[in-house]
Amino acid sequence: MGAFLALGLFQGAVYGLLAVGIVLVYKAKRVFNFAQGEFGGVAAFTAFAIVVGAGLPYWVGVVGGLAAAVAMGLIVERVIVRPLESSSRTIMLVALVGVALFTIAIIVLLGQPIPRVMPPLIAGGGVNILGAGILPQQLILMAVLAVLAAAMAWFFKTDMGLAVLASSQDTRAAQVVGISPVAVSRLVWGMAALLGGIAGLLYAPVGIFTPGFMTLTMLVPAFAAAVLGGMTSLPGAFIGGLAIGVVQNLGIYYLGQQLKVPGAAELGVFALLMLVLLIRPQGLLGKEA
Amino acid sequence: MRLGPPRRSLSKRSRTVLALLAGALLVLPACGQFEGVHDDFVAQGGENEGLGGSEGGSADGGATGGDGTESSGDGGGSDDASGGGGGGGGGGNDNGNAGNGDTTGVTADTITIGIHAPLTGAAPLKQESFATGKDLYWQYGNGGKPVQIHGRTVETVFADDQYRPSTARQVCQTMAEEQQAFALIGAGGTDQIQACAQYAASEDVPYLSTGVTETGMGSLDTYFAASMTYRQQAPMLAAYIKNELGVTDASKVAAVVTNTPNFDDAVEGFTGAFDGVDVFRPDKNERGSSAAGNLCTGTVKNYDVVFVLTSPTFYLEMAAASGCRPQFAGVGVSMGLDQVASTGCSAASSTEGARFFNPTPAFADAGEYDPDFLAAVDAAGIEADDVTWMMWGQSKVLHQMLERAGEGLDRGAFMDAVAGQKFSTGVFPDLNYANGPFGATQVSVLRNVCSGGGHYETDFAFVSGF
Amino acid sequence: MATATMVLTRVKVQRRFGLALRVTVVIALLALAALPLLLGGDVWAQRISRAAIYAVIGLSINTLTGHAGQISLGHQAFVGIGAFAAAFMASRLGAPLGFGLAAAGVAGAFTAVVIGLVALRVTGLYLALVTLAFGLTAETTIFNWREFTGGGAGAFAPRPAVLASDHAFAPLCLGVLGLVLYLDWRIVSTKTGRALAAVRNDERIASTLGVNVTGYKLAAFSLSGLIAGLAGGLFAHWNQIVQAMDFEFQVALVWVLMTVVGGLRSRLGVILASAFFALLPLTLPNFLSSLPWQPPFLNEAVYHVLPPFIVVVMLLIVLRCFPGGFGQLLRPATAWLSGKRQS
Repeated sequence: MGAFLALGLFQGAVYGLLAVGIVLVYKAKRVFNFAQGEFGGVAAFTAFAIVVGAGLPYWVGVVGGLAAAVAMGLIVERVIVRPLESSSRTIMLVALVGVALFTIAIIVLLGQPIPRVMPPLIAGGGVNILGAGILPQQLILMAVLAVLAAAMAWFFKTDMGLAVLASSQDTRAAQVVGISPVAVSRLVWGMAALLGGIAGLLYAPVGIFTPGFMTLTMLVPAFAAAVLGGMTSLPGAFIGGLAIGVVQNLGIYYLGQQLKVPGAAELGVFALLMLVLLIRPQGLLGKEA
Repeated sequence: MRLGPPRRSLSKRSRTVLALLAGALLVLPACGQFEGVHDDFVAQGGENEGLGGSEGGSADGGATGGDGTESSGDGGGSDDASGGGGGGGGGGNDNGNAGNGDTTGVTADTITIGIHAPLTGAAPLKQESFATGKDLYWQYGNGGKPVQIHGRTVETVFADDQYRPSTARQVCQTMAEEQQAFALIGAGGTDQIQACAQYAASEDVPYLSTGVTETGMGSLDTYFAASMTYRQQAPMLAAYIKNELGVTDASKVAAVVTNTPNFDDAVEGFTGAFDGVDVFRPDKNERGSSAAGNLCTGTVKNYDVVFVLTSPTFYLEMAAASGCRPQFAGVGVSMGLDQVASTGCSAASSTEGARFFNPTPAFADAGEYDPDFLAAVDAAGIEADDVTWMMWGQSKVLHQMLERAGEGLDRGAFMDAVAGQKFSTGVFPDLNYANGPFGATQVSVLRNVCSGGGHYETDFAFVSGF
Repeated sequence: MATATMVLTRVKVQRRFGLALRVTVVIALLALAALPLLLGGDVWAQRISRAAIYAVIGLSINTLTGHAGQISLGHQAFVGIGAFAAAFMASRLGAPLGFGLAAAGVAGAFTAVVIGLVALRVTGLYLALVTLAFGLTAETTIFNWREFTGGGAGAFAPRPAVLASDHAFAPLCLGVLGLVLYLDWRIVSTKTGRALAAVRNDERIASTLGVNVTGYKLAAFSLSGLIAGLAGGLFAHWNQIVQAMDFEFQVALVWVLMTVVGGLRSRLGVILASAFFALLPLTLPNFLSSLPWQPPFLNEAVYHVLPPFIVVVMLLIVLRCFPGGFGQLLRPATAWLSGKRQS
């Protein structure tokens, strides 16, 4: 039981990390970014190719992976997001779903759909937290999440962050005072891609990764985390991520192992998501839009 | 109709639409036929010839096949502990349709066979090794030259079953009917093999696979297992754990087996031989990391030995997340792949020392068991691996079967030539189909070695008990 | 005066001739489409069935997304529930196929109503999220419930004797497609269609016009679920085995993509795109590997992972270049065929 709580917290850190990126894009562009997970996928596979495939040092892999993610973010912004700016949000959502599936298809096509192992930042055995073996990599992940959530929250207090918010609320008015919507759009997508890339790089070494690992299992809980946190709140994304992770693993423990309900983790996420949307649609820390 | 609340608020027009719908729902039930269902299920795979005699009287049992329609088929003898799948009688899978004239896939100088395997999904085989491995035996198995079977060479077609039973059924139909494959081979994946075998039986297509489940397979009269089934291997594994690994305390043994009815027979076989072990049944699409919480408390082992029967991806995730490094052991086909060993080893050597029962000895020792294999690999100039090796062995079994079917090859003659007969290849276990389609009695035990790149080595080759 | 009559007659003759030509073209196109069913073997019959089933699914999504403007990323839940309901009826209860299909439709509609009652309280993008999460839950919880679905081994859905052959089954699928098409046409051409259009364009304006917004949305949702369930029932009997992994969430995403590629609210476009998406993975790998020239860097195995790639490329092209999808491309042709003057 304690082990599941601890596993949930650290699993939740990954959701939180993805959710921070999702919230960033939503705050700035009012778009649900379904491609957020695949920024991480691209970063992880690029880093794997550099570190394991080419045998270069780890930091080269990290830089290369993040660069690939940011490049993808900027390409998506230029090729997909900006031209579709004026179309409905549903079409934009479908397009971003397409981007995610496209990226997975590319990765499957270039690399094989076989499971891979990325070496962790710090090797070595885990520490025992509440009876769960937690790897050093997971501790790093948790720390990075806390730092990034705080950094993002701070970003929106800076001039640049305020410019992004202003542009999202009234593009025309922001343009009048000299805030270029194109620059804002690039900045937001580049930052979101960077966040996604960090999430992918940190999560890939925890266990095994396969093409689409960030989208297929992580994205929906991450969205639930963002909604739980209020969709526009960065601390909310952090807390929401951890909460979703814990709920998932408690679901596995109580529903799955005690009551033998299949798919307990997904059931837990769905139930929590519905509860939040019905009872408190503005989320835990969100403000009324 | 359950459209209560909104319906009230709809207009007359939409009521017309709804009424139309309701009408459609009422009309639809009329266009089915009650009597047909059972017969069809029989033709679909529940065909059961296990009545004892091998007399060839009833040429096609499809219409008369009695019970065994449940996939857990009690009539088919699939629960028969002796593993004699034919149940009642010897040669239970001999349906006596000798020379049925179905020469699909056979021409004057070629025979086409179809192979399905997962190239994507939860247990993907490496695409290149599969693409090169499937033809290796047929192109170079005859001392570096193409294999000739009564003057015919063999061509192969293959398809990705995506590790899904329904895709397996589709691709098997495409291969057998459109691409004109004479016989089908299943390279791995229990549920997929079962689905394809049932299709093959319904269309009288010969089907050969590595041994997997016995559920619903014992009564299929076109099916032959080329290695021991999980049901047959599970008690052997229990004996192996007790006698070779030295763990006799059942409370120190766990079984992690995917929650599919097709593994129920393996679980029964294991718990029957090893009373009181803890059994965990994760779902097919669950993540392996969540199962690890049961195996370890922090870095302390809850179990000394863990019997795994899951997809390789699940196993690798579970092993990587199990900080306490328990001893893994299991049966199966895809777990014995070097790809699995190598991935597991690169995840902090989490699978070091794992033992798996496998149809063939390890690829690392291939030269010892069949020098022709290495010669053929040289002649072809390819980079061989264990997928190639496994395909080689299975092709060799099929070669012997086709050889025995004689010159006037058709599907009926093939089935007749295989049922009740013995085959020996030295790569796959010795086979004896006297008691039905589960004719193997030997396994090889592979051990995961991490030094020098993760791979498997042979601990025991072709043993029948511990 | 005489000239005027002549002109009038010519116009009349031209119209009649035009009508005859249009009818001929339509019949010729239909015959061309029917060719594989008549000439191809069982495999082609199965493919036609699959294309028809996908088209029904496409129309189901079109009902919801195209007509009512609501998005569902969890349609595999409704299709899957229909499929398992049909399989359960056939293999466990031994009920006739018609009852199985009816149960499939009812199960799909019922699930949609239950989910819709809750989910339609949230709007827009949140609805996408809720349906996505529900689809995942259905996939892992309901479809893995062994007593109902057979767990990992899947459930069998045998066909009755009359429909046992693949050639007999394909007309059933086409028939259901025809029924659903008719339904779609009726909806659009009635008050319901106009009300749905109002809801789609602006819910607030629609409600000030006296349109029961929630009611229409729920009706569209349940109708979509019903059609999806029906498609699921056909799918179960089409393959005769269904398993939870057939209804992974990527599948639902691809279904949404295919409807968008076909063009929302364009019946012909949706049908064509659905058929294309249904057949691509079945035909492309074998077609490519049978070509005489093989590119050196591709091997046979790569062809098997190409289809999803192509699907998404098509979506991105459609969204960028012609947002109306196939329907937009076909509009000149369909306009001519339906006898409308081009402006």
